[in-house]
Amino acid sequence: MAAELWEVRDFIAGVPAMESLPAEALDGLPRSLSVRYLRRGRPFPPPDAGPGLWLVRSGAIAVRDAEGNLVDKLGETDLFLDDEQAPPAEQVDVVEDSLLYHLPQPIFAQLIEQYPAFAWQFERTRRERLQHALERLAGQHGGSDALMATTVDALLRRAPVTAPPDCSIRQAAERMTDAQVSALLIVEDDHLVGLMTDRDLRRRCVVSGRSVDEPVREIMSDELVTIAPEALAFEASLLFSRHNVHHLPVVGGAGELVGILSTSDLLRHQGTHAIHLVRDALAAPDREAIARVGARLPDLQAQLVAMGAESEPLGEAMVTVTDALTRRLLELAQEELGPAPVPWVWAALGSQGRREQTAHTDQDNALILDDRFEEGAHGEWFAGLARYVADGLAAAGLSYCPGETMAVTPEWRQSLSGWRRLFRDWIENPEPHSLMLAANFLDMRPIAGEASLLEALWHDVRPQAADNSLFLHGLANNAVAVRMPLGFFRRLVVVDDDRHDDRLDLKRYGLMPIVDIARLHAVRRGLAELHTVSRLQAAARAGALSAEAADELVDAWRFFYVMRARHQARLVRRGEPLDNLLDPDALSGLERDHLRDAFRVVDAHQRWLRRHFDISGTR
Amino acid sequence: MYLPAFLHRWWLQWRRSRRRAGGDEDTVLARLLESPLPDLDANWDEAEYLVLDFETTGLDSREDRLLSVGWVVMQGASIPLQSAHHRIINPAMGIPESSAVIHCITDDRAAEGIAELRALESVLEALEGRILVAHNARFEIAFMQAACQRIYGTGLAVPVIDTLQLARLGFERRHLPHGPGELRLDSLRLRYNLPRYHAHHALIDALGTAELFSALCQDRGGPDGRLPVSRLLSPL
Repeated sequence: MAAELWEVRDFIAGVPAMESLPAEALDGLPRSLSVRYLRRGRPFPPPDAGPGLWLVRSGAIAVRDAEGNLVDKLGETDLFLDDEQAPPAEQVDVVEDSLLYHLPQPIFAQLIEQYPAFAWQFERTRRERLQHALERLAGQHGGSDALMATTVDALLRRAPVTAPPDCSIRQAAERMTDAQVSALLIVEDDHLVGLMTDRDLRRRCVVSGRSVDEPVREIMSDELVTIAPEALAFEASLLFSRHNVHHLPVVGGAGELVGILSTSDLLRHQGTHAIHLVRDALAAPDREAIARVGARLPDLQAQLVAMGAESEPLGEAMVTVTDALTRRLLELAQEELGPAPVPWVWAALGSQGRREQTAHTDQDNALILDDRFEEGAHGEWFAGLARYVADGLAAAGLSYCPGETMAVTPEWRQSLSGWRRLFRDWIENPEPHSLMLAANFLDMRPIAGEASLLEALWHDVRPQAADNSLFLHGLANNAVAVRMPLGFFRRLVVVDDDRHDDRLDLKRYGLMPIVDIARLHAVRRGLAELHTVSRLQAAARAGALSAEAADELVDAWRFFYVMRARHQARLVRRGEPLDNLLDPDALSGLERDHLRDAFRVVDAHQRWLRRHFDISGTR
Repeated sequence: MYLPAFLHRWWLQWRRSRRRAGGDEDTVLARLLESPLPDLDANWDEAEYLVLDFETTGLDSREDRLLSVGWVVMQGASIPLQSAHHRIINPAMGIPESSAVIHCITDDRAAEGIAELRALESVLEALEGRILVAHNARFEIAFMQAACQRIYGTGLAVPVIDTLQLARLGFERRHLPHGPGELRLDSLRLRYNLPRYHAHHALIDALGTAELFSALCQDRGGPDGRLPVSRLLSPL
């Protein structure tokens, strides 16, 4: 009989919230429904229908709060739960002639009882739904063992192949051949004393005509670069490139030999894009080579996304490469310009500064100079440095900042005292423009040079900022300035009654509001953290906001971040320019629901900020 | 154009008594004819309806036979799908290709269907206390009358609402041009923002008609939603 109602069944089966119901539940469901047609302008739900779950088959429903502000707009396949928990102040209207299905409360309760995979969407808190979404995102790929999340011991594949130092070169070579390894660990009294590789055999035995009967001690390397088993794979990659070796003995904290890691272990594990990029960046002979490395950043992101990288490891990988590019450019510039006249520190700000970058980013940077700096005598040298690096970064795909927050702008290339004056002025006169500048430069992180210069600046600035309530009020004002969208309606992003966008700007309506919130709380407590996640967590520990609020915001931020990274990875694969603009039409129903949850997390916190900082606003 | 409720009721009761006299004593039809009429003064969303659709072997109610029956019950404005009913009927005749291409019911499937008598009895039972609704109801009525005549030797008398007639009146009241194309079930559904269904399946068409009926009533009803059943009845 259910088959006879296939028009209803097929529709329900396509509703995202019903995805998790098994076929037998879906088959039985149509018979439990009542169909209602409601003309535009009718109140909803109809008074005679009773509590239950409503499902929009066609048409549109608008949900407003007690003040008449639109809080939600429902279209085809959207759900409306009418139960005792529904906010009583809500005003719900049919805004287009609508056909609706009504599932009575007892049957809905049965489904909840019987199918936990269905139930979580209704029963759990917003936070739990978001975590579920993050798990889903990670689960859609091969698991999240991205480069930065992998430790060296996880890459070791076999017990170490060893030999004593007095064993003959011939015996050692035979053992290597038998075990099919290219490096032999030389061990004496359970301690590592040396390493013999194919390269040592060639250079120190074959080429120099040494007898293969001599002990291996004679040709082994005994100046060893080792790594700890708990070190990150990424650190191993840096050691490989820095010391130009292909093998790293892995030695535990008590000096015990754990194994040996080769470059091919890393390659096999990850494809090692990030490692190669960092190595190539640090070894780049000129700006052209730097530009070629930068051009591979989008590929790196796409690759990490494909591996299921989570937000922090992903951002960390992108930042590590960008930092390496910047450092190398600074080295090359100094080779051209000669030694610096006074100490300096190059700082990155924006997403690079906060270590949460993606491949699609502008360059934001600044120079903080020692107070011995004199414009007349040294100005030209630092202008040259800034220009060289800015041009180099631009060539590498990090386009010039449209707001000119770059060290090439004379104002952002100042002595420490100059920076102190700038910050004091911003903090004491929090006009909209100075607030914006302060917010930007509060995210500065040292990339190269004398980090102590920046530390000295923060030493003064952080207490000033934390103590100035007018300045904090201004930062809070910024953090609530962008109203979050209500959700999605058909192919559009519903911002409010008047504004429906055909693209979701994930940066504007997601990442940036949370970044602003995190910065505000970090500044309030004088914290040194830069990453949005670390700022929120540290601020919660310092009592600036509740742990629950921080956790929710962290989850929302991670969700937005991964959604953006995935979107950009798709653009990379299609060979299109990167942006932050999601097409609502390309989102699955669940993704829409999760995004809506994430919007609500931010919206709830913005409301809290408005009350806490006494900011008036319409929502 | 409309009979007042009392006249319509009187007319139906007169027809019923005539037909009771013409048929056997204890049949499903006789029970229906003796049952009280639905309240024709009730507002449209207080009455119960049987929204019905047939697929047939052809268009001639004397020659052709029922092939399938589908219905849903409406309780006021609500359509509980629990009431959804669909049966294939054995027509005891070959199915002409011209109709098979429309409803997709083959001879083999039809041969497994229920007998016409049983199908008719279940419709008549379901009609008790309810108002019959169909799109182009003349067609459904003609086939039911023919079947009743064949089986019971008399016809039936029930209050009927024709959604096609209602829609036509709607067009006329607004002075909108309309042809047969505009009055088709799927065109009318589109007008009222109702989803597109696969046509020519008795149950799906019945459900589609029920949804359209609800839309037409809400379109007709004044701001207070008042619209008595008697204003909707077909003067058959």
